[in-house]
Amino acid sequence: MLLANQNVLWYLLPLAIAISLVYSASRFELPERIMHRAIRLFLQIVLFMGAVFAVLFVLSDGL
Amino acid sequence: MADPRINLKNRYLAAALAFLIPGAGHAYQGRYIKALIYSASILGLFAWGMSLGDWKVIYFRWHPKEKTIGYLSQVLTGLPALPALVQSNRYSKIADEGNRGPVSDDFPIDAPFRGFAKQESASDNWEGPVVGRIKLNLEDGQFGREVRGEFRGRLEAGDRRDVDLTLAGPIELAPRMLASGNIASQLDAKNRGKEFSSSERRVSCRVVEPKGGFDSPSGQLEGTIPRSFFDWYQVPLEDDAVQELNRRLGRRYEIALLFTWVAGLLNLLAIWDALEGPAYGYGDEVDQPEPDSQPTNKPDAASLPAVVGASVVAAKTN
Repeated sequence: MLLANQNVLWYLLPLAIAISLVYSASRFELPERIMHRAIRLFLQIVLFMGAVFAVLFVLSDGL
Repeated sequence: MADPRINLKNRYLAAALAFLIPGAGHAYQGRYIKALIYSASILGLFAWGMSLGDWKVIYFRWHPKEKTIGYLSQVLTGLPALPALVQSNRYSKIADEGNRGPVSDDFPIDAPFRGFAKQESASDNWEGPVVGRIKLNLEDGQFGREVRGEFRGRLEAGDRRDVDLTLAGPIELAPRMLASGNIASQLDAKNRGKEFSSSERRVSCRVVEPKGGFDSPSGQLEGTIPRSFFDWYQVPLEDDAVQELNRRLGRRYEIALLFTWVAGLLNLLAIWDALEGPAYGYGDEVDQPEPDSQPTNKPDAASLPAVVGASVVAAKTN
């Protein structure tokens, strides 16, 4: 079950990359600033989703 | 107000271009890096979503029973999603006419065929899955215009023999655009009741053997031919076709929908950027100090006693 879910979760990485790039590009003009901001945002999204995943994984243990 | 270093040119035209093709508005403004970021991210996400969903996740339907709310997000991707509006219009006209069977516009047919055949004649008796090419046309027959044709292919089971069938008489052909018009399989037990994809068109025809100037029925041929790209791409899907997609693609279908929705919403940011420039500024601004650290005219704690002392001296001299 977990492996089946993992396949779906991998799709969230490119989604997060696209969101980070476009959002950051809409905030600034300088490419270096856009990239810097996009990387930071991407890491924030991934960490947040990872934390939520970890919490849900722990809570669902034994279900 | 956009940074003066950014030339937005005709910003309304840029916004319109950004809507039609993600990144095009920024390319027009000479902001090529941003154009690349927007087009690669948004169109890439959109195309990937379409691919995951078998290119059938975008369609527009606006009826009291069913409203494709998600399309309102998908259409923000611009041109790639706009054909759905045209297809919805075409679909409505055909749906209003209903399934009225094959029409003369459907012929001639010359297409790859995959399906099931059954032959029951005195000399030849067999049945099984077949693959090949089907040709059908409207011809003048004994009782007016009738469908005649042939199938040439191969039996996919048993001795895998070559099959050459003459077809004539009653024909069942799914409508040009309606996926739900697909005919339930009568021959193939495995596929009986199974719905077919909207990119396939179901056809069923009688197999005949010419005998004494007449066509003697000797079997049945049933299967699918590909639908024309323009008859299935972004055409509204009926419930059974959506169920077939869900069954076949599983969660990929939901991911596909999500990708196309998000791509549209992201293009909204790109359109706004083409219209108004970046939201926070050029990007080389020095970070403003926090309000607490800004210098003020108020005396700080260290100088307070001296100030108080000077005030006392001034009061005494007065």
